[in-house]
Amino acid sequence: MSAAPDPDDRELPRLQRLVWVLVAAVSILFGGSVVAVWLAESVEPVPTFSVAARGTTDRATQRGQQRLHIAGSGSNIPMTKALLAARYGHRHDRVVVHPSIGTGGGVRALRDGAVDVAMISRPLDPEEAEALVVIPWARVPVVVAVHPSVPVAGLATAELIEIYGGQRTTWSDGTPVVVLQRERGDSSHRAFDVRVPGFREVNEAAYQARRFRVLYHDVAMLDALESVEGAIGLVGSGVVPDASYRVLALDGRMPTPETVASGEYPFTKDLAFAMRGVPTGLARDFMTFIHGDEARRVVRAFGSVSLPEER
Amino acid sequence: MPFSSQHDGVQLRLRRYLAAQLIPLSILITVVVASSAPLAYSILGRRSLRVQATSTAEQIATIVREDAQERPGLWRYDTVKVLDHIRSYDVSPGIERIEIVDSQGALIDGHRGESKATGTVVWGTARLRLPSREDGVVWVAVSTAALRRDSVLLFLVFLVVGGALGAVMYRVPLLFVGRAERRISQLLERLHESQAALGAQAENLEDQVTQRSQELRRAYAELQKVSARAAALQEEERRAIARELHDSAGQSLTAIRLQLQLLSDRLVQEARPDLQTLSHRTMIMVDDCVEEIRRAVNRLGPAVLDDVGLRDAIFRVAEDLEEAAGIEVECVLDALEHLDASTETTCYRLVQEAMTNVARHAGASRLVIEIGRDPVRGGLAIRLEDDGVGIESAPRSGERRGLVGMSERVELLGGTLTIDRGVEGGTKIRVWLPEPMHKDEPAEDTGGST
Repeated sequence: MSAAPDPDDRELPRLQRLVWVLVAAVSILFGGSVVAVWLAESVEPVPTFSVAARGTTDRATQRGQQRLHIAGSGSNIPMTKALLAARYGHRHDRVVVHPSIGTGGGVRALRDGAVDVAMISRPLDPEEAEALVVIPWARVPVVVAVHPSVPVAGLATAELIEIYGGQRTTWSDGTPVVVLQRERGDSSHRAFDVRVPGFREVNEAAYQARRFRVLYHDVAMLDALESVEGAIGLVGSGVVPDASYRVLALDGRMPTPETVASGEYPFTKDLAFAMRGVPTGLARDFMTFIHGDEARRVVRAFGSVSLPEER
Repeated sequence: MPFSSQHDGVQLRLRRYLAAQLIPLSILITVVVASSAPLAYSILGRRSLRVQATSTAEQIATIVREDAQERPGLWRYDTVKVLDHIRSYDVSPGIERIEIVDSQGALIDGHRGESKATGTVVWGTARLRLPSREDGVVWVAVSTAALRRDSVLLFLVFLVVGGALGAVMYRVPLLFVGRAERRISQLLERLHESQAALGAQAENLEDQVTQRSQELRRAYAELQKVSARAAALQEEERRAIARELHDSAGQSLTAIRLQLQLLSDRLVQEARPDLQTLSHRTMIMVDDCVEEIRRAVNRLGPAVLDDVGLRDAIFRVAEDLEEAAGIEVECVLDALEHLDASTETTCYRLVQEAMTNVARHAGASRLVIEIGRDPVRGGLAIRLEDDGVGIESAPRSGERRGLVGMSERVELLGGTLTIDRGVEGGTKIRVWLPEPMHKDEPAEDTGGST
């Protein structure tokens, strides 16, 4: 046997070097892939969305005052249609009331010139109200409406708090309570937020917990109240004649023109029309009508009261 | 390498060697296991999120389309509320942004302005085709934060798993190899001990063999000496007998012959033919006897050696060969003095036999006889070379008997004899005889050790 040290012990065999190269290559490949995927998630391009320029075209003007387009809050629609029918007849085609797009949508459509008159059911922000002519015309009660199957005629505000808070889940006959909420910022809920202590909190908690079904159109709310047994919700259209839902008394008070006018029924909101300037033509004619006696009768029929014309 | 040579034998390094090979493989396993699962999860998860975003965008496009069908021309103004509602209530967790852009690429709810760039999202889109031909695009962004977090968690988990697997792959083979290494080391140690023992035994045997060889050589040398001495004594004895026969019996017979010759002459004078015939027959018998004695004396030992000495005896036979066969004989003779009887006789017989073979079988024309002291080994060196046909590989019987006889004589004296083909093709006989015992040296005690 040789006594000299084996020189191979000091030299890394070729195969071992190859193995280390392979390990390094695979590590780089996998590590690089992980980094690449990580970076890819970090550099996903965000679409560059542009902001639409405000339309300056007065479509109403372009249409030459042939038709009046009204759009906005759905709360206004029943009474507005009733007023228009009273003024121009049921088969009129001079004024078009568009489906609900909300107070904010109506204001934007008004500014864009897509409509002539915006229907408003909440106070406007200063930015919204800028350069607009706002004409309040009615104070409507925000009613607690239920499906006809609900076995109660009235609720206390405390009970209403319990229902929206989720503590009460069945009616007296055992049918489940189906609460129908409107979207955040809805004018009807806002009216209760202001006047019913604790309602804002339970309502918000219900939003957070997604406890109830949320509807974002008046039409959807009305349809649900008419079709869902045990349903309860807030409606800001006043007491709609011939409605399929029932209006409950709240704290023993029914919404009537008298209780609304006296303030005995405090849960109300004001309706208004907005225009880009002093109304002219057909718009002026309608604005004049809504402050007349016939219009007041129509408004009373909805359990509401007309607001005096502001000068 | 797994072995290393040390001054005390071979040292196993299997465990260390295997460890060096396993380290990179263990690292490879750890890296692959740790990164492959989270990588696949990230890629597939990202794809899933993109599908979710696209699916959500398509659902929103359907909702907006239905809404637009009810509000032709004004859908964009209601879409803001719809989007707010969807964002707040109807979207799955992880949906970070929902935007709708019109055909010009402008946001529907333009009052939002440019939104912050979140970065960690994937976007899905859906075409918004409206009855009023106011097409748009729905953009939905799904956050990848949860995916990234889960990927990191998965990486950590699989890093532990991969590390454990790599550690197992590293440790378990080393464990078994370590056991094997210990076993092999034990066996190697035993082998080393066995080799050492065998080496010692071999050395012992070698010493014994050497000792025995030396004893044998001494015995052989002694035997050769004894043989040479016996041959020398035998040769002297034979010469003595030959001289005795020659001096006594031969002389007497010669005298008898002379008397018989005188008697035969007297009988012729006295005319007694019968007695003359008897005398003549008796003389013939005496002649035969003399001749017989002469041959016997010659067989016992060449008388010529006693008469003229070895040198002259060789010269005489050389002359005889030249005269009889016409073969030129060259003699170079040296160191022939003071040789013992056996050596002289052997030299003379060698020359005689060589000359007999040359005359009868070689067909040579020239013979060289060279006798002298060997300058290298000492002793007597004899070279007999002719230019004949050369010795055959199967020599004739007569030739063979002669060669055997020469070889036996030489070996008896402890010498060597080689027969080769000569340079010019003939036969070359080389003989070496050990240091001859001189005539004047006393006889050795033959009772020496064997």
